[in-house]
Formats: sequence, structure tokens, C-alpha cells
Amino acid sequence: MQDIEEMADLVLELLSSNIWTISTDTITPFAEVVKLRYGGWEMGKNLVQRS
Amino acid sequence: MGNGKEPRAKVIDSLRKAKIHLPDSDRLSIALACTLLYPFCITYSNDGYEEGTVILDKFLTSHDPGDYPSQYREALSFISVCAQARLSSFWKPEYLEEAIYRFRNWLPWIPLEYSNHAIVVDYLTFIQSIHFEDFGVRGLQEGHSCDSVSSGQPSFWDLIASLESPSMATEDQRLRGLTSASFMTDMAEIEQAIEPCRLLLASFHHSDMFKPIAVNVLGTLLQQAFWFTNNIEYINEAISIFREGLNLPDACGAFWICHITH
Repeated sequence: MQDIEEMADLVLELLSSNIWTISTDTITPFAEVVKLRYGGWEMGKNLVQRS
Repeated sequence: MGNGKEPRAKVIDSLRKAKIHLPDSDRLSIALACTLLYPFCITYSNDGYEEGTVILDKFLTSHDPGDYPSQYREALSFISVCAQARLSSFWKPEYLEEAIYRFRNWLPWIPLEYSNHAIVVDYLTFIQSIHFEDFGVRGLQEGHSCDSVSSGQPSFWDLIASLESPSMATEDQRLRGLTSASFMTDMAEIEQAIEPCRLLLASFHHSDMFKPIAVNVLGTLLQQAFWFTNNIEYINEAISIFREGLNLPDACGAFWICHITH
């Protein structure tokens, strides 16, 4: 899995370059990786397993 | 390629800028909300809490639940866990009301077979039994046994019994049994549970995944006992137990479960 920080850098770079037409399809993988990284907190067992 | 920002700030920046191009992207919204709420659920920093919950609320109120069930369920889960974390951190009446509201909305979306279902039922039952007699003062309307919270689920007493003749086959059941003790509100039962919980805690290896949970269950029981009796020995032991928990490999998990079970 690509490093999330590198992905964020890439998105920022492409957005600022004005040469990239962003679409839902292209941004979804990044959004999913972010969600996995920062949204994994759940009550109960999942949280314990993650810690 | 770095621009000096810390990773999460950079991710937030990129998501915000991407949202300018795709304002209607629910995936971006949920990812952004998760990233904003992350520090609150780890360190209880208020930074990003309001913005994160506003984003999730907007998603929840602007969609029919049936349109995107998995995302809807996720958003309910995130926003509920955050409400619970805030209540556990600050214990204000308005946070109690919010947590009850969030958990009531979330519960119907959790499949019965998920282990989280029983934990959420317990937690909701627990917070509904609490009322604030005055600003910042906590009281209990009525005691309930952890056995009565969700019938059919293993209780703390089942777990204790299983130590002699192992019958709890799954980790889910052990976890459920252990956490259920935190929802005890009957002083007689709490007093009865403290000693077996001490023994249970002592029986776990330092690296056992259940040890941090046991730390917080025992700490919570001792806190409850202190509130009932004002016996300073209970709170001193609770502080000592929580300090011990901070030295465990799973301290982060322990901290969390403390808030789950508080």
C-alpha cells in the first residue's frame, strides 16, 4: 500500500497543477486508504485489536 | 515531496482541496470526517470534533439510509463512538443526551450477530440509567445487574465461572463477559465483583490482549464503588490500577476501553 502521506502529496500536487481532472473514480482509492488509516476506531474488540 | 506539514494535516489539506472539485463526494466527506475526528478518539483533543461531526451529520441527514447502507452505517458508527468518547471525557448533561441519541440511531444498524451489538446495547442501557442531579454531578436512577442488560449474552459472572470449567469458547464472548462488569450499577454486585476481577487481572500475562480491558473494568468498578461509598481506598486503588494500565503494551486500547466502559 502506498504511503498515505505520499498519496496526499500526490493529490495536492496534481490538484495544484491544473492538469488533472479529478473524478470520483480517481479519488476513491485515496479516500478509502484515509478511512482505513484514520477511521478504524470502533467500540469493543476491533479497537482492542488495532491498539 | 513533503511540504513540512505533519501527515494528518497534509491529508486533511488534500481532502479539503479535493472536495472543492467534488463537493458531492460522500467518500471524500466521510474520509475527511474520520481524519478530523481521529485526534479526538485517540487523545481527546477537541480539534476537529465539531467540523467532523457536522460533516457526518450532513451526510446522515441528506441521504436515505437505504441508498448507501454501508456508508450510512459507517457514519453512524463514527459519530456514535465520538459522542461516547466525548461523554466519557467530560461528563456533561448535553453530551449524555447526545450519546443516547447517537447510540439509539446506531443500534438498529448493527447486525445482531456482531459482537459490537451486545456492547452497544450494554452501553446504551448504561447511559440511559444515568441522570445528572446537578451540573457535573452524576447519579444512578436505579441499579441493574449486568446479567439483566442483554439476556442470552455471557455476563461477567459467566466469565468468572468459565475460569474453573472453560466454557467460553470465543474471544468475543470473553470480551463481552469482561466488559459487562463495567455496566454494573448495583453496589452489592460491584462489591462482589471487585475481588474476582482483581484475581482475573492478576491472571493475565502482561502482553495478553485482555489485560488492558481487565485493568479498566477493575478501575471502573473501583470508581463506582467510591461514588457509592466515598471510601477513599477504592479511588486510590483505581488510580493505581489505571497507572498500571498505562504501562501495558496495549495502553492505547486500555485507555479506549476505559472510555467505553466508564
